[in-house]
Amino acid sequence: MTSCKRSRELLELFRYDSPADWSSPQLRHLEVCQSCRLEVALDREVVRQIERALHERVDGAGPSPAAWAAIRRAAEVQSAGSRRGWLAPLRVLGRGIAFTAASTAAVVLIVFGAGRQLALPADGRAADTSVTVSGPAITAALPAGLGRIPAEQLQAPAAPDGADLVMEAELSRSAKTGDEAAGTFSDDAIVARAPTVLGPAAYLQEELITDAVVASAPQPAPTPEPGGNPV
Amino acid sequence: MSIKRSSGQVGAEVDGEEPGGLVERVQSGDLDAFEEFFNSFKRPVYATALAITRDPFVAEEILQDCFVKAYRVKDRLDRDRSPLPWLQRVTINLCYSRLSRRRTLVEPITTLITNLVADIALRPDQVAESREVLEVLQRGIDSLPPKQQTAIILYYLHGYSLAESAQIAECNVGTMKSRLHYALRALRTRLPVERRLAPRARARVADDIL
Repeated sequence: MTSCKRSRELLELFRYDSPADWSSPQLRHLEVCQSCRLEVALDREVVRQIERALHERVDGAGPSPAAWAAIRRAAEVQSAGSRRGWLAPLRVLGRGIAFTAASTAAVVLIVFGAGRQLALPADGRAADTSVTVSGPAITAALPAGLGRIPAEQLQAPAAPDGADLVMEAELSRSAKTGDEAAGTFSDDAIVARAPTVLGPAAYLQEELITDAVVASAPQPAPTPEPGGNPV
Repeated sequence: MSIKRSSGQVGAEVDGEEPGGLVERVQSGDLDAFEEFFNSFKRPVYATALAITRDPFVAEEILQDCFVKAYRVKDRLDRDRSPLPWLQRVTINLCYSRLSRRRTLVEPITTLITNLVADIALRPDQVAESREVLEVLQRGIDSLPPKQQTAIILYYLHGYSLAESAQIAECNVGTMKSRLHYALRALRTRLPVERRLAPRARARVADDIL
């Protein structure tokens, strides 16, 4: 390699530009600098050899006819895939529309069906929430035979006055005397106490009432051992 | 061997048709147009792949990958510009990503043959001296850094202008000049002084400098 500072500039001129572009100072330098002349000549020769070597790598070579067949197959697969890709959002959109339509239809059916049963105003006004609807009115609005309970049963019978006091008195008496007969209560006393224990809904069911009676009935007092205390 | 450098845009025309028209037809999904597109650009793409990998089988795989990718992103191809620079860039990237995996595993068969020939070529009484110079250069080209290798393949093999080579390599013209300069310097230093030039070339250089 030459040590001349102008060699790279000269090399680039020879590599990339046509001789017509050379300026005279550069040509004059080449005339006087033998090392630069050698550098340029060597560079040109190496470039020739490199071009030869590169062309040797590719000359006469080409892709096989099978290359296009493989590319075409891949392109067809891609086209099919992209078509599916386009359809996928449409399918999702279709499902969304179907779901929305079904939901809307269900809501409309519920609203209009309920409106007809509750005899909403024909002009579609919203229900007046200040109006209280009585229990019998709701029961009357229900379809015939569907969970209907006689209206008279919806009202708990009023407990006789002083029923609680009667029962308490009887319980305390039985505790004091240990009398077997004292554990039996009158029906009126039981009925009067049951709603406060089980609630009005359970009260209406006979079986629960029976169970409550059995559970709340006092067990017969054990016979005291002679000389012992009752358990 | 002298190269006639292209002028203007790389692949500006495809068999008399503007590349934009062909690209438009490819974008519409016309597979016949895509075949035409493939036939128009397969040679330079394959040459680049083969020059870098020196393995015809790998070069063909890269060619296929390149065109399959082109079809996949066809909608993004610019109709106003030739797709060749893009194809070349994809090819170069595919080559180096594949070579980086392969070089650690196995040398291509062609490299082995080349090295074998080169070993024989070390015996000057059996093989011509110019052949030896070529083999040294082939190995020198293989050992260049990818960017310098790309530069000499684009500029000296394909004959693209500096601007075109820079466009493909996605760098500016000054960078391309620099890469070429360092590549040539590296190749020259790989040649032993007495073998830098074949006998006929030595005579030519002597004519040049005297």
